[in-house]
Amino acid sequence: MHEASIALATIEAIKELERKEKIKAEKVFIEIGQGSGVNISALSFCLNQITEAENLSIKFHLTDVPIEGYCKKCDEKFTLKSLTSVCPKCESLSFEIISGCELNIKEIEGEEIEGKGSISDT
Amino acid sequence: MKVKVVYPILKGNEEIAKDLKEKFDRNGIFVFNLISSPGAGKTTFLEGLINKISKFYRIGVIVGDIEDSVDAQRLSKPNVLSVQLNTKSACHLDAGMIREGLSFFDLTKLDLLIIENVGNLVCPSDFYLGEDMKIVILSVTEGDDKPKKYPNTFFKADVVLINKTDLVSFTNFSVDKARSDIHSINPSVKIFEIQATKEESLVEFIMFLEQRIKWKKNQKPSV
Ligand SMILES: Nc1nc2c(ncn2[C@@H]2O[C@H](COP(=O)(O)OP(=O)(O)OP(=O)(O)O)[C@@H](O)[C@H]2O)c(=O)[nH]1
Ligand SMILES: [Mg+2]
Ligand SMILES: [Zn+2]
Repeated sequence: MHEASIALATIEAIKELERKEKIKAEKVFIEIGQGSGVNISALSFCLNQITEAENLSIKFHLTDVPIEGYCKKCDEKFTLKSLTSVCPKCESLSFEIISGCELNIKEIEGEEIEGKGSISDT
Repeated sequence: MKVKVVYPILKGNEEIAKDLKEKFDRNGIFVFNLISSPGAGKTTFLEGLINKISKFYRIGVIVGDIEDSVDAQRLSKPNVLSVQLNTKSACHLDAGMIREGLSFFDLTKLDLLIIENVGNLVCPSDFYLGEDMKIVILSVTEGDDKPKKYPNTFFKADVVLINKTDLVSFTNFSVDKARSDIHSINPSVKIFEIQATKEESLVEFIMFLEQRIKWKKNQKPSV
């Protein structure tokens, strides 16, 4: 259920990127943080349902990003099973999640549209 | 051709939410987003809250529900305007829906906007709606394992209300365990124990909320 709405948002985001970059997406690389609450296989299923229904020929590559936190006190990085704000070693609160919440499109591969490059409209 | 980007999938939602936040700020409206599993007591809690404070504040309520329901009617009181948004199949409210809902309100005449999200402990917390505060209700009948099972939701919460405390003795829910699990995920969260069916149990929370409403009013830019 959750992944369905994330999948719809993904397709919207791809359309937006296609317009912006003047490209027709064929392959899309997506990064899903393990702490984002999104299940990769469920999302992949939903994405494929949508592309089938809308007759889009996009292949998705989903990768998961582990949850990592950094403790200022221990000056150490930790890989975690789930989100927390407490250092697993010293239990202090000088602890920050540095990755694992991503829901990002990382790369789009495809054909250019109308010979216009994708360069810098930023 | 390859294009490397870092494009958040929920960027569309985030951008609308940012606009909403700006609107709320400009008008000095305090906004909270209320999230819980179905039946945890969101509407009951809001009924009690509104009864207690609607004499003092101008309140707007947006209720999200998958199909039409009576929640908005339950919350219609003098000085309170409530609007029901039917999300159809979506399991959460998104910022675009809130933007539509806002057309029913005169923002210059509101002190507090309450958003009752769709009953669901997972999805709503991903969609920022421009609120100042996320409140999660955990009712004791759901079990005290929920914080550990849905750490995301509790991680993002500003306030957790432990509800239906009158039923603790009928369950194996441990308030202490729930508190410590929630704090281990999110140490800065404020936790209140309430019984939504009994207005007096809301007093401590109401004092906390009033401070926030007043703080937000004071932040309002003078024109
Ligand atoms: N015993 C007891 N029952 C409660 C309490 N709070 C709510 N309830 C009951 O729980 C049921 C569900 O309450 P609602 O307020 O409708 O829950 P909700 O979260 O708004 O539900 P949805 O909008 O459907 O997700 C109702 O029968 C309430 O009377 C409480 O503190 N104690
Ligand atoms: Mg309700
Ligand atoms: Zn540490």
